[in-house]
Amino acid sequence: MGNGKNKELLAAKIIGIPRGLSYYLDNFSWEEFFEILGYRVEYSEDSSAETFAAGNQLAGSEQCFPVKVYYGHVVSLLQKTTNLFIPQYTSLEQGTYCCPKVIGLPQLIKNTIPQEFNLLTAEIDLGREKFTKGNILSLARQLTWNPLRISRALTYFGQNSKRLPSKIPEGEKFVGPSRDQGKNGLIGVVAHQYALQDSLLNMGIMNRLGEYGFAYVTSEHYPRPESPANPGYFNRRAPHWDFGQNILHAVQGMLLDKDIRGIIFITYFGCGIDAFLEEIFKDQVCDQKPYLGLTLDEHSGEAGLMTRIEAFLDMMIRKEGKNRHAD
Amino acid sequence: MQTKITFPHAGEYYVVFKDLFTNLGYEVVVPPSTSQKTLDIGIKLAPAQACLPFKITLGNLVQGIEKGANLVGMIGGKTGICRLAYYSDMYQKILADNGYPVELLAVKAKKEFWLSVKKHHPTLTLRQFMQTIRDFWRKLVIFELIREKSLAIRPYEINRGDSTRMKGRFLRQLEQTTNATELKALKQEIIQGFAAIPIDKERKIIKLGLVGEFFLLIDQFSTLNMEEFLGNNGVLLKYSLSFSEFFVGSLKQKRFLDNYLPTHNNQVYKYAQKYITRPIGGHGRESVGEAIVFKQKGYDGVIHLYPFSCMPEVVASSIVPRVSADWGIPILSICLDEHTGEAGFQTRLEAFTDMIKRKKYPFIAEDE
Repeated sequence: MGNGKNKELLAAKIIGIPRGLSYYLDNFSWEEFFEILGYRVEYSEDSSAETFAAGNQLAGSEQCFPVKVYYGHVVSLLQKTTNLFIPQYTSLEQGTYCCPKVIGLPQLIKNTIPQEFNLLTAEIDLGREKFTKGNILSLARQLTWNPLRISRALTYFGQNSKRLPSKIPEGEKFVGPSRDQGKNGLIGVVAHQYALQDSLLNMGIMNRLGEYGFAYVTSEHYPRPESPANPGYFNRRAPHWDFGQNILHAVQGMLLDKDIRGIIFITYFGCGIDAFLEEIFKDQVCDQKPYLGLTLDEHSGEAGLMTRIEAFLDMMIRKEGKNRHAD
Repeated sequence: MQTKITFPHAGEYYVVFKDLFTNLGYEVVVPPSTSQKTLDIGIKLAPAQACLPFKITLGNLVQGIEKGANLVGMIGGKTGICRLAYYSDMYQKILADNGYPVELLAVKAKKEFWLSVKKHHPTLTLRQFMQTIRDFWRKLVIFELIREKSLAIRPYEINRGDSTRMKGRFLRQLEQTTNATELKALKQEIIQGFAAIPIDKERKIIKLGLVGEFFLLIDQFSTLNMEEFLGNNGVLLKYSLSFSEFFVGSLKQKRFLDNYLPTHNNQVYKYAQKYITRPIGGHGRESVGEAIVFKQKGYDGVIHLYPFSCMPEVVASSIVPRVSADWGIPILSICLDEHTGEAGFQTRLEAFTDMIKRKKYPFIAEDE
């Protein structure tokens, strides 16, 4: 360890990053970071049914669906390289935590996959800057001896690893009259980041909304302003999970947003955080807007799911008095 | 308005907590013992995927409130990574939604506890408060002594049920004891009482350690009275966690000591380091570390209990097979929820203990 003496790593010069869970938390590019250190980054491919099938064999039966898919990404990457980088995100701001499964992810993967591989990891706690920097430094020192590269990589990390911007940039602002409302209206989709971006995890729900003439806004478009006092979170104490705060904040924003006709909440079976979150906002959302809560897992059949979504959308169309699908 | 306090049963620990709240000047409403009805109430009100401890404690609280309580003493704080830190807010919401508006009192070894008690009882002095806490601590230690003794004696007893009866007797006595001198006498009595139980020292027993989620380790209802079942089957059980540890575990000073001195927890973290490098919430890291510590102490196996959908323990349970292989410890990971059937659960336990017994005493025929 240290000073680039990790021979095997130096020989291969390729680092694999699985595309799942914490990958979607990165708001800057690890690829560039590793390039500065002199390594090429290989990402795993888009998730597919095979990815899941491969992961399901290794993951514990009680793990949630996204974790099982993550295992699949790891397995497919291990065919290309034996160096894996899995960042250990523990907290995205002071006083909050990620989900325990994300916190334990690097060790979980290391200790459950039978194949031997080099695990590169760094504990990232964006609430504790110095601590995080120290971890990044020791990660960089494992990879190269060159102090110039190390210092450049550290500077890169320091500049780019900031938490969500305190103000939403104008271009990304969704609230406003000019946005695309679709033929039938705008729907808010609330879910964890990885679920929104991975089409295997969200089972193509977003595409289906488009086919039906609805535009959608996802919870990602409601980044949390930095001041923790801002939203009331439904008059409850803010939950101590980053994901939880994001979701509550987004739901609250969507409720206030007059353009949004209905809200779809996507969660996974066994997700401990969402079980509590849904309880917090469900009754208030149901009072104000059409709401569909979907709990997905690996057994969710596409047909059944689509029937539910179609029923929900049909109901909304009828409510508006535009019975276009009846004929 | 007179504040009447209720609190989750938490196994038999209510004996100790009842005393604590009484001494602090509250009127105490002890909820009825945890039963299927308690669980049914919990299942009805709690979110479907909430963990078993949440459902059971919620049921306890509702039953307590129905008996007239208007304040809820919640053990555990608002810090941590797992869902326990958000329990109090969930209680508040669910209870209010269902027509039980109550206040909450967080019981923990922190300043906030004193401040909120002071608000209810302005005449209470800090000195009295500290004395109450000290008395509570003494009682807690005696309580855990009773529990430990009964576990250590049960597999050896000749007349089945002796230690259970003895435990019940001493718990009732403990409930009535108030002052320190009597407690001291009781301690002697407990040691002598358990020593007087006729035992068969020659019996071939096995020693198992119990690790896992905290609530399941203290509550006998949720583990379907596993303690007695295993004890009667010739298994000496040892819990890795107790309330006293949980209570002081949140102290900064204790955590500091654990980091730098070779205390028990320091050992646990050291062994767990290879598998889980940092706290992941709940007792996930401890479950892994304690299992190895049990092995080092010469235990024959480990049972790992966790409620369904418990986030930290699911991580631990995935890592446990690797620990088991690396250290040669037989570990049985059991996930419990409200649907766990007694017969199926006991079959698994029996199979596990039989396997260990055969391995430990290869040439001895079953005596029963």
